[in-house]
Amino acid sequence: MNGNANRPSSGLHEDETLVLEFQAGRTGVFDQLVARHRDRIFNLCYWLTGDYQEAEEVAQDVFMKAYGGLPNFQRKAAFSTWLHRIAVNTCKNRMKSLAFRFKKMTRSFADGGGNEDGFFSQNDGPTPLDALEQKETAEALKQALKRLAKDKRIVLVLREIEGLSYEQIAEVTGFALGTVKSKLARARADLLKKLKQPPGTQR
Amino acid sequence: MRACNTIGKMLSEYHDKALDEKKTALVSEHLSSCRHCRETLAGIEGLSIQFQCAPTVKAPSGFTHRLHQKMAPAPWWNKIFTTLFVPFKVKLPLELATATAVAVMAFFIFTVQEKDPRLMESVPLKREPAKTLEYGKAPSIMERATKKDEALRTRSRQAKEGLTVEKEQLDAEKASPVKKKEIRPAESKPVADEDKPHRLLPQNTAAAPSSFLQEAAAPEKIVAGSADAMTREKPIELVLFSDASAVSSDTFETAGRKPQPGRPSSGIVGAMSKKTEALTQDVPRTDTVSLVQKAVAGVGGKVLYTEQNADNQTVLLQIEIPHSAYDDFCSRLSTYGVLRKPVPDLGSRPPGQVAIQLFVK
Repeated sequence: MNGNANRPSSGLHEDETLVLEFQAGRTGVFDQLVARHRDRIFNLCYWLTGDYQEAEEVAQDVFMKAYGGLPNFQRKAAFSTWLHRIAVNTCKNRMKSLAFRFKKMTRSFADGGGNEDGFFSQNDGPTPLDALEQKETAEALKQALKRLAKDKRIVLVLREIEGLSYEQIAEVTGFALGTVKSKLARARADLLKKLKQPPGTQR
Repeated sequence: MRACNTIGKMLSEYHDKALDEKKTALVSEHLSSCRHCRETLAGIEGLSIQFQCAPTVKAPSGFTHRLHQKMAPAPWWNKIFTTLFVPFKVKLPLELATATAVAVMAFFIFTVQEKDPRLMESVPLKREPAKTLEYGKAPSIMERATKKDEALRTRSRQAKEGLTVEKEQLDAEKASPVKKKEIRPAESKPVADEDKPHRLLPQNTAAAPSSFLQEAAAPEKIVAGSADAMTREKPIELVLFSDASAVSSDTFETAGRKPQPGRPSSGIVGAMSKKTEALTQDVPRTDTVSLVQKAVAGVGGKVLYTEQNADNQTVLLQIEIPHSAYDDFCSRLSTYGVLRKPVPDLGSRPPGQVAIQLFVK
């Protein structure tokens, strides 16, 4: 999987230690928590929103909410799962917002549905040709994902990008386990169909 | 096919190895014999490979710094501003919001738009609102007293001059009845500049306003040169026809010209001097003016002020007639066929001279 599916248990312990220190009053350790999770949360936000700038804003909102809610964090779930839940809910709210829909609409009008942020070029493959092919594949995947229903997109990204298990997905999204399974199966089937269709034929 | 539907729903879990052993064996057995399901599973696996190949997007540089800036305590007014607009955080459908915005814009575009100044120029006799005194700029008692004294002196002087002119008119009428109509024009001074509105100012109305629009806007007018010059009365307004065809032929014989209905009714107004008369020979509108002058002379009144609007559409006449002769004057105008009805009533005006404004349109 793309994400850190199997995180080392030392990371979990380290998160727990940092959270305890934060709750003890050392709020400065929050920077360490941010440094540990910012890339994962940013990546998740990017794949959910499909927009680089939007992802940064949402990721910052996620950490601000985490900072505000950390004193009351019960530690029933792992810190990373809790952070993922905040990220998913923030992304869902953001995608529902008027500003996001307006931006999406104007961008689709401006560039005819194709949308490239240009940052994929940062991640070069072994050869320029491979890098170009990888970039095109990722871009096609992103566009197809954007055309998926919101819940299906969330479940699929959490599974394929973040590498979460079905139980973790259910915990993050709040769906029942059976719902997660069925949504994931439908999401994969829909995404395969949309990848075969050229963008713009069906919205 | 039924087995394909059942197995197809489990392929996603089969790919993720989330099925129990029994179901895994069932799916494996089906896949060995079903090509369609094998292709579906290959698609799911290919999708996973695509996701694995997709690059991980890292947070941009300066992310933590910007986060710190965002987490800095907001100023106190920001909280108030946010609180004030909490009720407006209503989630509207995008289409509804767009339609509302378009409606508001259309409303402001089509209602708040200023009128074209060229159209404003073509509107005849647009009355300006009466000027009001601004707070703190009211003249003092001494200033008002001084102005009142000056006005009294001016009016008494003008009254004397008016009496002199009237005496000269009577003498001239006695000497030559034919030149009766030319006495008043002799007193007037037509404006030579053609760009300015043409108007005729008798000598006894030296204090006449620069434009009759301003005069018409004034709520009250001091009648100058009359016996009761001190009375402040709003002039009665009469509107006359300018169409020469409405006037009987004997009237035109009296006025000295034949009606010419086909000609445009525009030109310089006034038949008070030879020079002016020469300029206005072909203008039918002046016939109405001449008829008014005739009616005024017939009832013993006098023309104080004559002016033609710049658009050549309207003529203003300010006359003064005896109070008792008002009905006679109106009936004469009615006989000439130039009076538009209804005629305003005199009301409770004090006896004496009555000031009248005639608009020839």
